[in-house]
Amino acid sequence: MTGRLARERTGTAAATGVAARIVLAWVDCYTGGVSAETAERRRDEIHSDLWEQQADARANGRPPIAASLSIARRAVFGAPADLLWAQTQRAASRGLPAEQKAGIMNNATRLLVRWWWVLGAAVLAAWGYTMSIGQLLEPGMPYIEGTIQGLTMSTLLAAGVVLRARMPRTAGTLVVAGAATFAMLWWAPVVMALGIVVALGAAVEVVRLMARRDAGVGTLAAIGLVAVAATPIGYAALGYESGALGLMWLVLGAVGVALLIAAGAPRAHTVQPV
Amino acid sequence: MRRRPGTLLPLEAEILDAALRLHRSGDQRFHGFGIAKVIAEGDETATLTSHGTLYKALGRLEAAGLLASDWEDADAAAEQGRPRRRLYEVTGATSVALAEHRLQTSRVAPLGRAAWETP
Repeated sequence: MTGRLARERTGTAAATGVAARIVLAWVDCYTGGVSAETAERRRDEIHSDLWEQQADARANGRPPIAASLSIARRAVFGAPADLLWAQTQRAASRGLPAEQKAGIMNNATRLLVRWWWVLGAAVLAAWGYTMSIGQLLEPGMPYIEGTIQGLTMSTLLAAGVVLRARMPRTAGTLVVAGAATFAMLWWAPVVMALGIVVALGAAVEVVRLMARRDAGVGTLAAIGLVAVAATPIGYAALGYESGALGLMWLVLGAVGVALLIAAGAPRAHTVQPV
Repeated sequence: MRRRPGTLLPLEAEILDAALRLHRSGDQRFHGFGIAKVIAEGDETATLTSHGTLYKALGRLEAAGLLASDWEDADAAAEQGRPRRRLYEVTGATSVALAEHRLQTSRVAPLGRAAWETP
């Protein structure tokens, strides 16, 4: 966080709550590649908006969870516009001095290459939690099975996001498993497309980390990931009320995890004769 | 789909309408969330416009000269214990642009369900 406005922001009251923090992290993310002045304006304006919404909810006696859900919904549905805006701003920054532009773009490129699927997973998790908690709050909880599944998949994605820095293979596998279910939501095409892209991105990362220079290990890891991804998809599509079939999907998941563990096991090095 | 220059998108028209309503009610300057709240009050679902959509549209309207904005005084915001606001205000072109938009849209023949329900 740099710049005059940001420094002033740290000295004033801040928007609170997990939803607000996630939104601010998202703003920091997509403004990473635009000029500093434009990024600061967007960050401070969203920060002010979050604070005003929370203050308005308090003033009108609305529960904090309602404000948080509304904030999350506004962020998730505004994400495509955010990305388009950032793209336009990056195009506009082409007129900046070369050195300044290179600094911005290099940082943004590094961030995107390493973290793009993590960001996608975070967006999916936020959407999943928003929808699931919204369903939980409905009278009679009419979609309880889907709600539980949504919460489970969102938690897998959130765990993957949290573990990305320390345990990248585990994080990638969790994201593949979590995103796979979202990738079959044909009735929400944007979420479905994001689910597919995020699952593929995480899978490529896991295979890349495991394979190194061994194609056989890479293949083993890829098969394991397919089995892991097929487990929640199969369970959601077919396994709800069919006990043996449901167990079959769980066994498939276990096989996938076993394959991944086998692929990730350290290899004995053969000593070449002198 | 590209739009014709000088025309307003539905959200932009809603923003200008909300801005003029706030202006008429005595709020000469207003922030983004205030506009989103006024728009939500006129919406059946009462949902607030998403952040990305709202601020992108506000930026377009400002660039077109239909709104003006500036940061409020940081000390004033700090005294009230909140982040400072980006405050918007209507310009001389705001009401003209909205009136033209309404004139243009009223001439357009209704489509889809609207056409079916129009006697």
